[in-house]
Amino acid sequence: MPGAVVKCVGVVMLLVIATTGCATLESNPKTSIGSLGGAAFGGLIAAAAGGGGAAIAGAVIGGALLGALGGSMLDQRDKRMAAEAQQKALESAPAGRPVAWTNPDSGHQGTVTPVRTYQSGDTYCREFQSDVVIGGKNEKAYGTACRQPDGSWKVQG
Amino acid sequence: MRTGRFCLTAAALGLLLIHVPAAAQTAASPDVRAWMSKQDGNGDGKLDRGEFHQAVVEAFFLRDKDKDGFLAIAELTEASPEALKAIKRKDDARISLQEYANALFKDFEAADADSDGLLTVEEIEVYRKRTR
Repeated sequence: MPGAVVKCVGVVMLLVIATTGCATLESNPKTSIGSLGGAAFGGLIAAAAGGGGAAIAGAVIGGALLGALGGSMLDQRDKRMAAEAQQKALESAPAGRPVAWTNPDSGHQGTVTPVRTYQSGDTYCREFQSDVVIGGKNEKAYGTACRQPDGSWKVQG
Repeated sequence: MRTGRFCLTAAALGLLLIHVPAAAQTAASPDVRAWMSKQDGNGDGKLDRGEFHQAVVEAFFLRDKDKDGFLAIAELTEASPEALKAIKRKDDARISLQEYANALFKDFEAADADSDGLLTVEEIEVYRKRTR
């Protein structure tokens, strides 16, 4: 499998994990990350449609494999830090201002940047961009998340 | 007479209070330009209604700390009681995003000196100084 596709899959997975994982994993630690990734996969494909890598990866690779690949590329600390950054970015960062995370142990780093905010009914939703450096290469992905009553943010799709 | 309270008109579209440091508000040209540049999605150097509306939504979201979809009117330092009364339909102590946007679009219209539906940095500056 081409390395670029693998990296794009990793970015997509990070988006899913960071957005759904923060609250969900804490409240239900037995929930597998792979299954969470599959649940929001469709939304990420739609969000990234026309954006290149993420859409291509999503079209080619199934949800189960996607979860396995994403899990192998990012360690638990990566995922936790990304989730914290994503929560902080979506909850309080102005549009255009990135919130960064860095894991010195793995060498992985990234940013989460809100792009646009809107209301859907009584709910806030925010489009966002996630940048992740994996293997020294910067990968981008885009998504939309809506705020849940418990304060977590859930990827739409 | 200065009241010390920014009204909707004096607040230079209110949103600047969110994004421009208070100390810079008396001579805000560089900050207004920076703010304008940030909101100017199509890069034409002017703020159209869509760009302005997005700035309003972003500002409201950031002001809404408990994320309940409303702001307490008492906390709206950029709005005068008179202006709020004009756009409020219910006599409660909070304001919705729609009411907030309606109030701030009144400023948009007032600041748009040539009525072309676009705000320039100069129009904002003139408006701010005129209404301060």
